[in-house]
Amino acid sequence: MKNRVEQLRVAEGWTKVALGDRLNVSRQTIHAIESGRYDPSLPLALAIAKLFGRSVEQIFGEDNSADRAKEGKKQKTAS
Amino acid sequence: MNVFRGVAGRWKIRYFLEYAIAVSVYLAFTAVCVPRALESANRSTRVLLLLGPCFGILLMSAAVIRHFLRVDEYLRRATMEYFAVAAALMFICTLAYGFFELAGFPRVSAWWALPVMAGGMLLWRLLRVLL
Repeated sequence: MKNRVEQLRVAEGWTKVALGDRLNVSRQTIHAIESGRYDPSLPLALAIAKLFGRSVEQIFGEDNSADRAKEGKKQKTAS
Repeated sequence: MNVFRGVAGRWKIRYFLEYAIAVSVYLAFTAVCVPRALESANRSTRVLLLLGPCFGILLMSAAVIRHFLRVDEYLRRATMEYFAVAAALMFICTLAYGFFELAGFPRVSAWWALPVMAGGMLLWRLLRVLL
């Protein structure tokens, strides 16, 4: 499943190890999630969502284009 | 060191420590019990003494199980996958060789099943990295 974990992690300036430490999972797990090779369990998906302050759908939704469009609008209005 | 970074690094350090202690116990029991068992004339004493190293093996198994239960969901799933593939490979190899023995191939000890299984795990891990 495609997700925005890598994008959000990079935006926070965290390494895979740093994100893994915050979620109590290994770097390999973060890499597998980001590359779409592994879909996390519900508790881990919820922990990721909580950490980034977003909903699970916003991070793991099938299509994130709507979210990205919303964010773009927000950024425009803010500037 | 890079391999001991983060949460997974702490799991590895704990695992290596527990495993090292278990191996030390195994070696100590082997060094003490086996020579005495070989010298002993009494069969029951010999059996009891030879069971000594099994305590170390028990500790090694406990270290492996504790590590498996400690790691996260993805690593646990990956490990299960390695075990499943290795078990299937071992099953195929041992069964096939059983038939080869009927065809006149030399008899091989059942202990060879373990290196075959370990090889299967290693092979699948390598393939997963490459694919």
